Amino acid sequence: MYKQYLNQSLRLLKENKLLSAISIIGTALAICMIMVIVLVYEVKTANYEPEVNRDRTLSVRWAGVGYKTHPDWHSNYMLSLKSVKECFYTLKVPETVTGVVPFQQKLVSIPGGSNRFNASLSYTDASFWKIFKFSFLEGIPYTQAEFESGIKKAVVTESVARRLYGTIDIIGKAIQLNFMPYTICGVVKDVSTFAEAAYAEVWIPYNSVKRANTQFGADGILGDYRCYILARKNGDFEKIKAEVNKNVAIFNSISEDQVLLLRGQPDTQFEQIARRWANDDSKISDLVLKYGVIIIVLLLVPAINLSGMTLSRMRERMLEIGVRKAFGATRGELLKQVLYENFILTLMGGGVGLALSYVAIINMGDWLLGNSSIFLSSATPSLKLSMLFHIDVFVYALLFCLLLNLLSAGIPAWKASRTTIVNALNEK
Amino acid sequence: MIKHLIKQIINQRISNVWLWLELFLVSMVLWFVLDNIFVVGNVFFNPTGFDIKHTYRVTLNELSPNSEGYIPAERKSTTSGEDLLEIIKRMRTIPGVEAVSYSYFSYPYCSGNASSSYRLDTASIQLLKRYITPDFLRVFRVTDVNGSTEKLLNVFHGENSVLVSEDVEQELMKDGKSMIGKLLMHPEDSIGNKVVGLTTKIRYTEFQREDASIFLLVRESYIAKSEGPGIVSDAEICIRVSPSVDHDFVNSFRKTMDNQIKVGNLFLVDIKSFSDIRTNYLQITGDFNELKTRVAIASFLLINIFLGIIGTFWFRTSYWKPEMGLRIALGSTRSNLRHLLIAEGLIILVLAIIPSALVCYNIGHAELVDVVRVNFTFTRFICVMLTTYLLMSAMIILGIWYPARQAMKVQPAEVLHEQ
Repeated sequence: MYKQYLNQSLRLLKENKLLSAISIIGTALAICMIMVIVLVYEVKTANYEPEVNRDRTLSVRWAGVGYKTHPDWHSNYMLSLKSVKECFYTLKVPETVTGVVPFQQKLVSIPGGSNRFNASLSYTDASFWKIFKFSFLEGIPYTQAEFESGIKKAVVTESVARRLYGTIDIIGKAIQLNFMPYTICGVVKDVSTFAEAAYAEVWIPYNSVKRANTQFGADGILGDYRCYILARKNGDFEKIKAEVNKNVAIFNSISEDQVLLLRGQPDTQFEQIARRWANDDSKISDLVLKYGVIIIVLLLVPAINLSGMTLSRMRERMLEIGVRKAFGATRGELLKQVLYENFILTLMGGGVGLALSYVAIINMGDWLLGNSSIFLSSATPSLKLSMLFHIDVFVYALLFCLLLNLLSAGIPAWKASRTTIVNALNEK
Repeated sequence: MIKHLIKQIINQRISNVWLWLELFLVSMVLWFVLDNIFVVGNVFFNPTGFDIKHTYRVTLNELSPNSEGYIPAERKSTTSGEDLLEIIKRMRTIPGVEAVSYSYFSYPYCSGNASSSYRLDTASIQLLKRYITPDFLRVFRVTDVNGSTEKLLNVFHGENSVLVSEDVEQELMKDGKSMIGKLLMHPEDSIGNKVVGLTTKIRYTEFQREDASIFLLVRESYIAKSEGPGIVSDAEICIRVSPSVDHDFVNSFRKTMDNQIKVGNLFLVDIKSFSDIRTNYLQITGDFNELKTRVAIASFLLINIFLGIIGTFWFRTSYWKPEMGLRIALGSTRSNLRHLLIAEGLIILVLAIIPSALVCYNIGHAELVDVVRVNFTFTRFICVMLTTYLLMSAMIILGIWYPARQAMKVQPAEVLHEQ
């Protein structure tokens, strides 16, 4: 039966090439734009190397300080090491917690060498390597014991290694970071700039340098650390948030005037998209509303378009419908047939649209993904194909095609199934 | 003629309802998107109050005690501030360098800022603070209202003297008098800042509305006394070069200055052109990306109108053929007919856009559009609505043109014979 529908709709497709083309282009455009939104969402929230645990990670990227004596005074930046240690390292529910100083530009060189260049350097602890899984080409990361001893070891990316020594076989060799001597203990594959939490080109233990925290003032509550919390399972998020709030309350009760403000953090990977600046409250509902409206418009406009066309096409086929009815076709069957035939068109458009959306995202990633990592960094954003080809993407594409089909062929199909035999045969 | 067309539209009402619905929906969304593009365009082309052509930012850093070559404090006779001033002096000697300035929280596209509330008598105003050495005005070509930088430099030197942007005067001096010579008071000090000059309005980026600003003087004696990493890492050292040397300046600067910049514990980290800094900044704020997204949505809507029109009118050609044949036989010319069809499309558009304009005006009136950067006025509404109408008409004319031509290729005799 369905095979016959398929044949029939293919025949119809060939019969009126212009209209088929219009339907396919219209569907393709809509699906393309929607799938771009879906792909952007995937890149920002799906797990991929090195951020393989995004679905069970919570983050605290910003922090604020408030004053007990002046409720309307605020300062905003990131966490200080003290805040990380007292509020987050003490957490019991999560599997592990890491404190990270996001990348900064540092001058990288070999002792005595004239080849100096800027690279993004991030300060981490040892559990950083547990939350984020890098592929080590050579060597291993620094261990917890090494980190605690303040060892001067560094992990570098493949491209930094090659720029410095021309090879990646450089374990145990020296590297200078702002002229401070370090030893290379590991070489990892380059990291995509879209992995904003893990991204850097050189990583060193933050214990290995004495870093001034004075310029942030604020009693040592604010600093330049971010904190990532790995839950044992994502059902634990609420428990972890509660525990964080408890710790912060204790932390603040000791302080005389200044208090740490987290503004609803820790965030899930999705929540943090909606939080751009340090003084923002997360505006998830705004974000959902905005994209909801965009997707509805993207679906509705082509649906009206296609509805009009499908209706006209149905009118041309009234005779056929009348004959089928006269020979005993039920309403349900006719409804199914129209929807199915139209679905073939939608699916073709959807396929084209999905392909177009991949082309768009790969060629216009800077714009569409709009990531802020390239700020201060010399790196160009790099998109890996493995980030894009997820089964979820295809499921979403199919779902949106079905929805578009229902919207665009629903009314014509319903009308076609309702006409009486006599009217249909008279082509009224 | 119009009566005739309306009758025709009513006769075709089933397919016209779909068309009308689409045009109605699309015109509202399109208006909303175009309105935003209008605002951005309006803001974008206003003067920014600064000029970043041929300017660069130099970043320095200070060695830490663990670094190779670190000079401990006891073996050093100069402060970090003095070392910094020495470097600035050396940079000024590079051929082609016109000015070198030191500032903080000040350069255009800076991602940090400082602001305070100031008082003039009883009136108070929130001002964006820019801490600068006078050369900052030269580097970014900040001028007074008459376009002169030198006049500002002549007055901007005394203790506690400040410059403010002209919108501060407009805000505080409602009687139209000059602000020069007045004392602006900061809540936490009692001395006050004497206004010695007015700059043009100055903005943060070309996507933002101007900020009422105050320029505070950083004296070299203050820099010289400063010690510690903050003075260097927070420093904004900006330079302007003459256009004649501004090609591959970054590399030539690195080559000539790399060793000269090693003064005390300071060293050169980076030099970046302001056009790169701008690109980076706009990438983070997403201003350009947002604009591109809106253009993409507008194009999507227009293409859909085109497809919808071409689809709807294509079907009608089969109905038209006999009618067209008859009309031609009775003496209509082909271009007459084409006008008739296009007029039909445009009338449907008018019917759709009138209710949509009502809705749009109310959306604007309720300030659901961007009113922070440009006020919602009737002119703005009309301009954008008119653009919406024209763009949609263009799509309709394009969409009708092809089916109409197909319909009119008929030979009257043939069609009438078939009938």
